[in-house]
Amino acid sequence: MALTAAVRSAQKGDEAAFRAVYRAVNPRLLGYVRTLVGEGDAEDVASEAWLQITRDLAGFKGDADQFRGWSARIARNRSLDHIRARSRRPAIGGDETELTDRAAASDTAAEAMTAQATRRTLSLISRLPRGQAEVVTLRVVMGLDVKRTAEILGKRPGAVRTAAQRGLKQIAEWLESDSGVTETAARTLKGM
Amino acid sequence: MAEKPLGWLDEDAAEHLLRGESVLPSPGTARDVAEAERLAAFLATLADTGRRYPDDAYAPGQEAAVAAFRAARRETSHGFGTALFALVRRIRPLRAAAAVTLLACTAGGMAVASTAGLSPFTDTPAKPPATVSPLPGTSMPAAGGSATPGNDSSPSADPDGHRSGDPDNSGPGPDAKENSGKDATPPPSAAQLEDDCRAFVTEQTRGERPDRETMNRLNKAAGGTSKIGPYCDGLLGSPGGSTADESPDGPATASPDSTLSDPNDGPVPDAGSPTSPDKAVDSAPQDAEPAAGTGETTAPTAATD
Repeated sequence: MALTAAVRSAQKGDEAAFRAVYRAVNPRLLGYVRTLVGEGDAEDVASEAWLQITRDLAGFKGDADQFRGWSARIARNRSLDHIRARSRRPAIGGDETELTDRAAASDTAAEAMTAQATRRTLSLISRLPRGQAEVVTLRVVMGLDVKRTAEILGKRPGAVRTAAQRGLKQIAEWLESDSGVTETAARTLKGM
Repeated sequence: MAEKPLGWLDEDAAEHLLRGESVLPSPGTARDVAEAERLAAFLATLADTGRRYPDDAYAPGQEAAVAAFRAARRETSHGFGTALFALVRRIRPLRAAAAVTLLACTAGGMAVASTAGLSPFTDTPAKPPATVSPLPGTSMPAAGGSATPGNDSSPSADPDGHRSGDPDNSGPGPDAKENSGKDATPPPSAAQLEDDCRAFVTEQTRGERPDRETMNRLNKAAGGTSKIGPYCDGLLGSPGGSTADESPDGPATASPDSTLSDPNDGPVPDAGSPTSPDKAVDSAPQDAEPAAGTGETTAPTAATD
């Protein structure tokens, strides 16, 4: 796996390899961290995570899958520290203005649609209960298996599966009601 | 609506969807099928938010992370050198230890001068073929004093505010001043270790043991006398060569192993080399990494198992 090789080279001091690792892993970390601290603080918390990742990198042992799990755990700890330090609840349903701005700046219709889909996706995830949001993003965005997800969250694998199912059901309901609203609106407009 | 909504979405179906696989509720109504497709598309978009930054795209926070990487790299070489020096100090009186310092520094300096093409300065990353592997202990002040081990003003401060191994550095300071002054303590450079390995191999074939300082350095670097052989094979670039990867200790061996074999290892993705592993790392969203067990994935994303 290319990430495995890049991690090992980075461990030996290869800066170009570290950049490759960062570019592969940071988008995932950001996606996960958002579920805990919200859009506004996600980049700050992710950079704190990378401070620890680089500091402890030499002692890491494992392949790409294990590296993603290891870095996710670090990101989670930094996120929880951030939440405690700020003494505020996780910004579920958090700040979407950055996403909105990005969408507004899109040049093409395709980009606009992509940005809108992204915005909606992140919005729905942010509306889930935190445990479900974490499970879904650890599985899908961090690319972790059930076992690693369970370890990071301190849950049993069965609880992880249940949380995943509940989260997906909730998302499916929202998607369906969204699409229902759209269809109703379309019919209403036609009738006018 | 007589049926339970989303009744098809059990834990198994959820697992398939999380892995990026399409799910066809069966038996299922048209509504079920539509729900499954919407959810699959949603998860594909979600997975896509985590895809790797394209090579030409801005990567937020990257330069800060690279700076942290460089700082941690300097720390690693410091920590190793300081630990070794503590070992030597236990075995020899301080005066003799200072002599070892002088020898290590001098030899390291000479070796660096002779190994053309490598960048010993962690702050000046060289583009291919040389990589930025640090030669532990030989991070000369030319790079801005980046790695003088005893130097508390070094920019390599650990972000948490504590530096590994510094308390030991104060010891050899006064004695070390009589040497070239480039290093207060002698983290053995990779060049020094290479020389040690050559001495080890040569003297082994003659049936003699190398001197104690050499053996101490090699023992520490390799993690045990029985491992010195494979360690030196890796360092000197034997046909196997892979032993450099199997560092017995994390910080202690990460640095010296890194140097001389690196020009072949460095992926250098930014150079766009065709052999760069960056190509695979760069592939379709998350496919390259987690997809190991899910070859049947149909969607462009793989949520993994």
